[in-house]
Amino acid sequence: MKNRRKSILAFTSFIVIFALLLNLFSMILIPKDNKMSKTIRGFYEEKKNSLDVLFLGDSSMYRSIIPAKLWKENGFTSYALGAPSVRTYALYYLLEEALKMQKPKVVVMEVNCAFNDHKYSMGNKRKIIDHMKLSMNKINMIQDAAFQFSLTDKISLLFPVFLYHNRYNEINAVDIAETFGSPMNDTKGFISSYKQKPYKGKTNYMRASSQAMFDANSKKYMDMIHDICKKNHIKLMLLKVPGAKEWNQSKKEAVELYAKERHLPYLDLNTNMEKNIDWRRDTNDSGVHLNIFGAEKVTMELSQYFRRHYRLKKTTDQEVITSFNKAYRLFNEKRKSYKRPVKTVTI
Amino acid sequence: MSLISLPFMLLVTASCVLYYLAPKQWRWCILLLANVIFYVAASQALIIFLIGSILSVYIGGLAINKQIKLQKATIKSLEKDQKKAYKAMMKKRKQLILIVVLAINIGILCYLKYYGFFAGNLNAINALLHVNVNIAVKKFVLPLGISYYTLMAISYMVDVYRGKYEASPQLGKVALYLSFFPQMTEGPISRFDQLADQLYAGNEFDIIKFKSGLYLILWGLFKKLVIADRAALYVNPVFSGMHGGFTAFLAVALYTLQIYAEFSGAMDIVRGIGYLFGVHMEKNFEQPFFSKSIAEFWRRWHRTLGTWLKDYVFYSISLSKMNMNLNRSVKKHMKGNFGRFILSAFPLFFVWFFNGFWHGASWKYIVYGLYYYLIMMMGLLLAPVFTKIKDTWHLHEQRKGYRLFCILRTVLIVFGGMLIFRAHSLDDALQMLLRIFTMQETDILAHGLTLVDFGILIWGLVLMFIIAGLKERRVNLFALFDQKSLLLRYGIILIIGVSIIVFGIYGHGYQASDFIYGEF
Repeated sequence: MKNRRKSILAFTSFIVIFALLLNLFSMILIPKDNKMSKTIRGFYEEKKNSLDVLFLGDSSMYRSIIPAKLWKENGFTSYALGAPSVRTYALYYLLEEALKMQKPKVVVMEVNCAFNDHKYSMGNKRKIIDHMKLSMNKINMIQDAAFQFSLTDKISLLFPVFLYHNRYNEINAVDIAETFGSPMNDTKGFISSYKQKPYKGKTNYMRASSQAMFDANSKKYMDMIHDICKKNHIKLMLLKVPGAKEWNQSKKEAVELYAKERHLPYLDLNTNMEKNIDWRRDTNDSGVHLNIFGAEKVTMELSQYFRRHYRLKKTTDQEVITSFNKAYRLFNEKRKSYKRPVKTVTI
Repeated sequence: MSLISLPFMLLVTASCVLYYLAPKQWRWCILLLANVIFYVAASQALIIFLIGSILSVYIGGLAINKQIKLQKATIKSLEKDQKKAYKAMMKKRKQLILIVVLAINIGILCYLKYYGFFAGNLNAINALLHVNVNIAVKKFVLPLGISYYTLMAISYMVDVYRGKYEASPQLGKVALYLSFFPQMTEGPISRFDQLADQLYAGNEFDIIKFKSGLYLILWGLFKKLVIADRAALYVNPVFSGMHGGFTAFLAVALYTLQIYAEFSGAMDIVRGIGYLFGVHMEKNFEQPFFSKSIAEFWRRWHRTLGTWLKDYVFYSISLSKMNMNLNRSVKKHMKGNFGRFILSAFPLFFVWFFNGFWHGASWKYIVYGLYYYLIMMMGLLLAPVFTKIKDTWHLHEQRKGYRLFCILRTVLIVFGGMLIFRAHSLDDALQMLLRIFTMQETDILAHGLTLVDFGILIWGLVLMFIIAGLKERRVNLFALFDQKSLLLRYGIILIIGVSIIVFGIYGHGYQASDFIYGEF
């Protein structure tokens, strides 16, 4: 009996060590040199319970909101936590993960992701999951049927070493140094573009109405996001940043109805700052995303909105202040160096 | 469904769990079900050919059984003169059944595998003779494992015919024997009397066999994914290009090691799976690179094919009337070494011809088989000269230096064989051989393998040869391993397991390589 217990214990320890080793090699071999990895990995490095506002959403969100500028203007701390083409079900798990480390007062969800109808590629799913730490939340995420992962996908998502093992030939100092912790993300999730590529479509895109439907699963997971926020006494706000290509009146109305039913604030900057956005200058890809000039306008608008609707106290934590001051300084330096656009395309 | 694919591993796991959960008398049904699932997944409708083989040997075997029983029952009541005639008649009957069944099985194999080869060669002959007949050269998709299960079907029929054992009255047993799923891809070419009872018995769970099975599978995966497929990263581009010198020589050497690591690795996986079900299967390799001669090499390399050729080609031809007549004539007219040479040369020619031809429908493979035949025949013919040289130079066979020389000589000859085997054509093989000696090329890091890869490859090869060396010294590795402390055992398993996952050549970024012997 004693021997049997010993064998079971040894075997269990063996399995645990094996899993830990796979996780270690996964951490070493995951590519860490892309912008998205910095967003997710950098989020873990934020000081515990230091963020006042958490922005969630797809690329239209993290290309439009500048947390460093919000800090400078309003004095509240925030982070733009998102991923390209992200779906609401991915945001739900991302929020669960975020709440392990942060207790934001407000969660702002950019709603473009509720209508994403193009393919949610494996690469884009991996841009979140690969960089999340191994935990029950990550396991639940991988298991969630909404993602439609095959068994092989699930194995390689749980232990990315199965996918990235061929990188053993290109391991560098960064891979080793960032295995147990990444440097802070000085952009706080914002990804900037200084390119200008004008939107050439109708300027009254919000008046052109067409059928708009929430994605399959969207409402379910938005409700789940709403539920966690309620449970954690976090104010949830819905936001739509300007987007000439992907947004329209019907989508706006659908979100309005959803927000009204759940008594959630909804700010649609497509109508609120319609005249403020110059679609010839403020987009980097013909109206899908905003560039730095558009992002600054959105951030200023949000800054005023937050001033009017939320009373967020400025932190007194010196470490957090230093971190956000540094983020603003770096942003400002980069912004100044790009004062005049490198290339202006005219219509 | 490759031996190293996830669906295959899941099939093994599921069938293993169900096997031990099922009542003993139904366990063979679980195996048969797993065989069907595996075969349908791999070859879909082509299972019809396997079913055809199973039914033909089952019915044929029973028919021979019936003749044997009838002969036994009748012969007692016959007079001495009648007995001889009756025996001859019964032998012819049995022969007829045997020929029909063999014709069905060999016919299917020849039609599917060799039709294109025969048609192409007949067209070439017609063109030479200016005969205006052109046969369409067709290529068929081969049912998985046809080269293996056909040889097993032949061995079953011939053994029943020779009276080695009785044909099985249980169709399930014959079906299990011919279709046991782990061995369908690369063999081994098992024998009915070694395998069938084990498959049909409903084995009890044996922890020692089970653990041995897991160790073998792990080691097989290491050899395939870490060593063989890494060597292939260098071998494939070099054989596809116009390389020479040391670069090409290394490709030949690495291909030899690749095919060994891959084929023996596959056999480890297959035998390991067998052990999970409590089934012991024949070894196909016995440290071939420790051989001191080519004959010894072939006793250690692909052993189940070698013994099959010995039992069913060599003996059949040796005992044929034509060979008997030749024997008598040679013994009468030729004495000494040359006589012995002639006596061996005739049946061995067929053995090596079939060895080559079995590997593929191409002249390249026939030449591959005959290359070894020529080497062996030369060795036999020149044996007195070699003995004289050894005596003159006082070379003692037991001396380490001489043994090492013999091993190196054998390895170099094997390299020659592997060059023919791997090259795209005979002409390519010859050109590459010439380039090895005439070109100066040493840039080994420019062909798919980095320095790190070479490091991993060398580490894998060293490990493989240490284990082979221990086996050569008759060390029982399983027993030795099990005697070690739990910590050491788990530590070794962790190192091998993690090495396979991290350094294995699989998945994204690599082209998955099929098993070379899975194509035959």
